Amino acid sequence: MVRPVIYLLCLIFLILAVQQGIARHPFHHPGGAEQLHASHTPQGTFLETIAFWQQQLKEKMVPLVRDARTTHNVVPLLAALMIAFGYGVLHAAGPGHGKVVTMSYVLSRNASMGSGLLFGTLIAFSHGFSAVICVLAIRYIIQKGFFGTFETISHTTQIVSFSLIALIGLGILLKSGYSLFGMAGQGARSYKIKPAESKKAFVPWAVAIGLVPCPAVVMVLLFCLSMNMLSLGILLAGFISLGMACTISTVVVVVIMGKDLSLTRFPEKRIKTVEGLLGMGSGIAVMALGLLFLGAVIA
Amino acid sequence: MKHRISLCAGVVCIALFLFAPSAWPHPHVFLDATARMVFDNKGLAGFRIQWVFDEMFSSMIILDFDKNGTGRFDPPEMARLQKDAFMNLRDLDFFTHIKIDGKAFKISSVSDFTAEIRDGTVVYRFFVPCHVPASGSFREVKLSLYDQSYYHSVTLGKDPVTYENNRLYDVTQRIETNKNEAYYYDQIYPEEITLRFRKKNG
Repeated sequence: MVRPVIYLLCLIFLILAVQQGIARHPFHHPGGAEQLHASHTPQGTFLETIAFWQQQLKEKMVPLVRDARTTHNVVPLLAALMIAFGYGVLHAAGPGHGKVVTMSYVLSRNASMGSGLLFGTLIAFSHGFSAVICVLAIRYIIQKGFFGTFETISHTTQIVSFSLIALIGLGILLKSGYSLFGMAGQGARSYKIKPAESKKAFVPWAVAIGLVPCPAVVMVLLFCLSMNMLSLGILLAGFISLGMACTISTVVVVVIMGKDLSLTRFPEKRIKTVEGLLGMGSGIAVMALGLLFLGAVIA
Repeated sequence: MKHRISLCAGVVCIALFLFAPSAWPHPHVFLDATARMVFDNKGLAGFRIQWVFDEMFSSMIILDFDKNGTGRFDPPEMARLQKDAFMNLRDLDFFTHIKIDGKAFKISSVSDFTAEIRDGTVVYRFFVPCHVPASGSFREVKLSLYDQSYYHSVTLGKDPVTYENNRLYDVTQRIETNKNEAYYYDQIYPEEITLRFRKKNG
């Protein structure tokens, strides 16, 4: 049990540590044979690498969608869905997608594995399908151009979502602070939150965090719409969301395993204190992030 | 051993928390960029930039701006496209970052904007005026093409640098990753084109 966890943790450390790119191009004179085509070079930082592979997958998806349309064959369709899934996995590995908020939720609420996974999955599907709703609304209800309209919708949802994230941070901070200091005299009470209770509580929060429509899904859907393939577009959006959910869930699994492994070494009294401090720290971080992004969007 | 595992797990939790990238845009649009170095009889006149967008983003532009579905942008469509889907990039310096002899050069305007649909992709072309008089000694101009917000991932396309009217000058170029000026939370290193030129027989 312990060995796979260590391997997983090491892998994540390695991924986080990959920051060095490689200088690729020596001096050369114009007209010389050596020219750069950087988009064919998968070396670089972690973000550059996942951006490169996202570009590759996007490029692969285009002809497959066309093939699915012209041949009505299931093979390109399945391949496109698999690529959409992979694209979602990589896409969520980049910045955003509620990973920090999900981690904070897991750390602060003593969430069960199931609750954490559901929380992350809900964020991913909310992020993906808010994009679907946004595209359909602009296309069939508002009937305006996507440029400008999408920006306006995205701007509004960002304000709502980031405000809610700041509020969630405040809530986590207050709740963790209360359980740490306010409940100090009630040592007999269990520190575990009942999973059923936490699930009910987090559903609206997860939906709110994922409210900002994912531009990647928007573009895939618009591409399908340009070929009159709305249902395939929605299917691809679903698979991209599933991929994003997998990445967020991996983070949840690692965090919960790491947290459980760490806390088993402390006596219960200490666990409460450590959890309280972790929760307060998470709350402050989430609130700060929410306010920071809110400020940037408003500015 | 168990203490070490706990410590390791704890550190990973903290590392994940601290290093988790921020909730901000990441590449959603991919474009290949190339630059044509344009010279006149005084020296460097500027850069003719070309962007080739990915097909998915292109389909978004085509849906929005090729209203009559002719497969090309008519003059009114082009004018609207320029206003709504190009000039809005002024705040991002049209993804064009220039240094002349080590000093940053702020782009004040661009000209000759055109857009076309080529094999399902949208291609933008425009000219960035940047006058650098040539002399007997080498002048150095650095050009980087990137979106600092990283909403667009800009990579140099095939044959990224070409020349126009450069017969009067000795010209050398270098293309390399600039490791000193990372952008987007210090995560992305731009590709930098270093152009050095002087008058021939100088």
